[in-house]
Amino acid sequence: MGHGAKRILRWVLVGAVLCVAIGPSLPLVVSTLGQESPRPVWTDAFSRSVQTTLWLGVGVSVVSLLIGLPLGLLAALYRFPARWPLVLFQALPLLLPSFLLCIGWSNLAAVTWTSWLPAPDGLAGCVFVMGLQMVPLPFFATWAACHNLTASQIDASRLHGGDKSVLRLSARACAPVAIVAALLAGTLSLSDPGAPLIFGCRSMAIEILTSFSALFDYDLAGRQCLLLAGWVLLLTAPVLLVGLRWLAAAVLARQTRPAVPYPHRALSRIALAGVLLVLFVGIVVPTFGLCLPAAQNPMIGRAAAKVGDTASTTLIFTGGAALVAVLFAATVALAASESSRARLTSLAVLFALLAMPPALAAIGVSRVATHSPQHLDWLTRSPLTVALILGLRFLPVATISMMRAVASLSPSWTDAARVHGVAAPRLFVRVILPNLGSAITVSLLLVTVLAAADITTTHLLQPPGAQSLPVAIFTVMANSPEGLVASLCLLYLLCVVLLLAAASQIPRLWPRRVA
Amino acid sequence: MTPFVRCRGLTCHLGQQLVLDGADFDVADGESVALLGSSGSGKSTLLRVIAGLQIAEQGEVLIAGQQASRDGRLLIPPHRRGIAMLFQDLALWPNLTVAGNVCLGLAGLRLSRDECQNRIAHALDGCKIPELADRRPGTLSGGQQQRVALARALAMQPKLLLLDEPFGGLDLITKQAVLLQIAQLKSQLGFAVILVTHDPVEVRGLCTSLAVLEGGHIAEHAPMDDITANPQTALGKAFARAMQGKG
Amino acid sequence: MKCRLLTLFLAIPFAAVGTLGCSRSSSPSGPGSSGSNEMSASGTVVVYSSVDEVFAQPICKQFEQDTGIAVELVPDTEETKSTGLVNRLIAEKERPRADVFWSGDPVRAAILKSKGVSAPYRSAAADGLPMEFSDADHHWISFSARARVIVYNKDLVPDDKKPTSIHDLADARFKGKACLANPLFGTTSMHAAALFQALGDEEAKKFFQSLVDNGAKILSSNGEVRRRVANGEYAIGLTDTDDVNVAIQEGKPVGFVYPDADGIGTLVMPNAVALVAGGPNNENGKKFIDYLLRAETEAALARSEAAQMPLRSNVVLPDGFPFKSVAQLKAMSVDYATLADTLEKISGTFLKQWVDEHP
Repeated sequence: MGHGAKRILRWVLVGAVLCVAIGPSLPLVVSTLGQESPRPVWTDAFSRSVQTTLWLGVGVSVVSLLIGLPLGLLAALYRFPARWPLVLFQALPLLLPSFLLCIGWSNLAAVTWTSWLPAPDGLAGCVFVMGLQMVPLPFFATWAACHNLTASQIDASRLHGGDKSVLRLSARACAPVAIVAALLAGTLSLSDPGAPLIFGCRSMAIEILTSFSALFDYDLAGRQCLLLAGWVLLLTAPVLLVGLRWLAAAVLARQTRPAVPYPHRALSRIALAGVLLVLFVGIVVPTFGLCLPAAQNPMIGRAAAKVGDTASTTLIFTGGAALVAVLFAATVALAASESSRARLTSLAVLFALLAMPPALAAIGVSRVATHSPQHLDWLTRSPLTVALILGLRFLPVATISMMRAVASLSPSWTDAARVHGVAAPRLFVRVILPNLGSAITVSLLLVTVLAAADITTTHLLQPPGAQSLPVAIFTVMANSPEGLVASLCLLYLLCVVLLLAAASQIPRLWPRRVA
Repeated sequence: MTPFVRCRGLTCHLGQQLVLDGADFDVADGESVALLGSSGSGKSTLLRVIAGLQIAEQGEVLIAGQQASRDGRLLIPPHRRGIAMLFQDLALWPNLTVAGNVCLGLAGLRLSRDECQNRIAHALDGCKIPELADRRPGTLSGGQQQRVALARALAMQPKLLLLDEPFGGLDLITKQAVLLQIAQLKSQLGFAVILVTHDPVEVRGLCTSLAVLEGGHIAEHAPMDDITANPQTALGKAFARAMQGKG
Repeated sequence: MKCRLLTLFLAIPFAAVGTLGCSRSSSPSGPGSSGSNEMSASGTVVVYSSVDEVFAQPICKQFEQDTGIAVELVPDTEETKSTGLVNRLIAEKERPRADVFWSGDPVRAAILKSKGVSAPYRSAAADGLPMEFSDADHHWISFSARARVIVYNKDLVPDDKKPTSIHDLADARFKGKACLANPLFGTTSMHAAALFQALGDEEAKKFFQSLVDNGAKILSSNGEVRRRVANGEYAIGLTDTDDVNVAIQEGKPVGFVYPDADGIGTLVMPNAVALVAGGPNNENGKKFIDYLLRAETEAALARSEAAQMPLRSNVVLPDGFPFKSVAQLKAMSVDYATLADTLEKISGTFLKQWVDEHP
């Protein structure tokens, strides 16, 4: 294929994926742009919420980066007991919607024996809870990037300057992708009204929720969403412009040995303590607060029945979303692999989309489905719809991971394949896919947990009779006994912990690169 | 006699830089030619153009008398040219075993399973690494990886083997052993060799002729004895002195 | 080569799409298939409900047993936890998936009428229900009610100091210790609209201002009000009777009062049910509405943990019913038919501004 044709195909594919990603949000945005609205967008309250939102986004990015980057480095570079399961469990904070984590913290604050702890509140409280919740994004980005360092690089830096030098080298290598992931974490927090509502902090997400659900003013909501998208583009584009250059760091195909975790006595202990501490503060403590009522009135049986009723639907929605996200992300990553402009465009658009409240796409799809013929209901009004929209929503998360992984593939592998006449599908299945394995695993995991926590999309699109467990928790929590809600949350977490523990055995199936 | 490889008027850019400027280059059947040139002179590019991995904007490449590419068009794909290549970074597929690498390398030939297994065994035996069949490249030493790459290339039974500075990082003894291996296999199988190198040891160990790439074209191409006796280019003179052990 | 790999990627999503698209939901009549509407016409009704699932589910199950018609219940989340079913109904208006909307208050049903989502249906089962709570055009009918009450923590508020009026939320003795849910959402928004009708615009605005001056806290939902009053973070709060009843059943140290028994009275908030225009199972929808409007359903809801007050005066309250009957209450005088209009008027102006400026 000629160079010109390749370029055209590249932009066609990237454009197609971006169009599919933007598509669900378009109906409301288009109708917004065509309307005169009686309510002005830019009010004092809205401008204050913009400031609050920007601080929230920055705060969440910084907190998640400051914890996620060093923790990811330590977890990747040093050996400690139960390393692989503990690494997987780092995804748990993303599983629960921030509403529930905040309720857990505020329950704890009301208990006498924890009254000495400062209760999270206001903007600081939101940054604390959401920052901790988003740690997994830069954590996994760092961890995956560390796997592209070779043993020679690590050994050389260890010889020259000890483990301080190793950490410095690794941090410099992983920082670009970790910063992009932290930026993504901050962006994701912009569309979540959960913590701001509980902690009394007025963000743009709350303004948009108010426009949708209290004022039923879709035009106003649409314009607010466009403003939010504009801000996100303005702030993320420069960072992406700089950071993307370092995202594409191909590794020479002559890898004598990839780096292996090192049994450093002190740093291994610090790594173990770090992962445990983040798990403890990020998920165990708020879950304990959330589940306190279960101690007084456990309703495990009833909760188990609910879990049983909703398990398959939950798996279809979240697993389907993960598959969709990974497929589209891999398409974008491969298509944009030779063009930094294509990568920048893709990521900038996807970041802007991620900042949008989920209701924008969900209501848009609902409207399209309403006007579509009945024979398209399998696409527009089925469990597939939920999986598709959730997958597209979290496409940026998978895209970052896949871009980094694709960039680390050596071009010599494909040259060798061309010389030997290895057909593209065969090369893909035998070589490319296995070498993208860890990126695919991380992407599947992150999108699954993020999709599970997205109540709004699921609630607006799930077909009658198909309810996911997280939505079920939110529909019963208003007036169910607190013990039931607490038991549901506990069982939900336990199921995911078991799934993750099972998933931690998957690497045994992948060929090990080093004996 | 028609040379196995005939290149005429090759012009190629790398980005904005002109690397090949009307280069003509012939390689006869069974010839072992060392391709010399300063860094950035276009040696690897010339190899890639001959292999079909890159297409020259102008000029033609004929392989065994047939047009393989011409003026920016690829007419014969890389895997049908009877050419194998050892890359600078070896390009071994890290997740496959040694046998897996050789096996996948036969994909373009569409052999039966038995034939494939025979070729793999033969190639590994020929490179003296049958015991490494189930190991993965990441667990091998540099020299062993070289032999695996060689086995993968030779399993194709190529007419021409392209070596793009593949011996970097090897100690002298290992390098000599691998060169000897290639020379023995060459005499058995009769393939031609183009070796891109800066090292006189490698040239002495394998090659019978020498070509110098300078200013985007082949400035000098002659049998080793002729070059040694009467070098025309500065690089040719430097090599002649090195070959004669005069430093 | 990488570009050729991409074409392979294009094939994989289609395979996944086909697999997922063909997967059925857990209910017998999955909406994904084109035949589902024909199957469901004989045996299914789709009910969107903003009534809490724990209360709606038993009624639906009983309906299934009594009629053989399967109910696909789509419950709603708390008002601020997601964008809500009302938005879904509006978005689906041209080709609805729901047959019936069962609302926990008449305002949401009235909003749907104004958006053209509901259709009029005069149910014979509505006989005996007082029509002042319902829509005159029969777009929505009211039954079984809750009331707005003030919940207080018994450990923090002695009996002789308990609140008696909504104005007590602005009393100095509860400074910084009172709370209410966001008045832009849910039943609190209905209460706000009712106050504007009952007190008049000026008095209502003064009331809300007094809450600000007294440091009353806006929380995310009635459930949160209940929870935080029960655990002692706040002394008193405005919430609904079903929230209070759940707290009492759990043994929390809470009590409640019907506010303003000597003044404007307590807001009664009936359930409202509406037939969705153009629903896929119109006849079954009507049957479901008939079932909901029976006296037996009111009796069942009174017996449930929701402890909802029947609107019919001849429905006998169960022993130990924790609340007064509607007849025994001093009910706030409101025009239920125009509450939605009042709410629309004040939401985007006063209420939004009040919430924005509230610390």
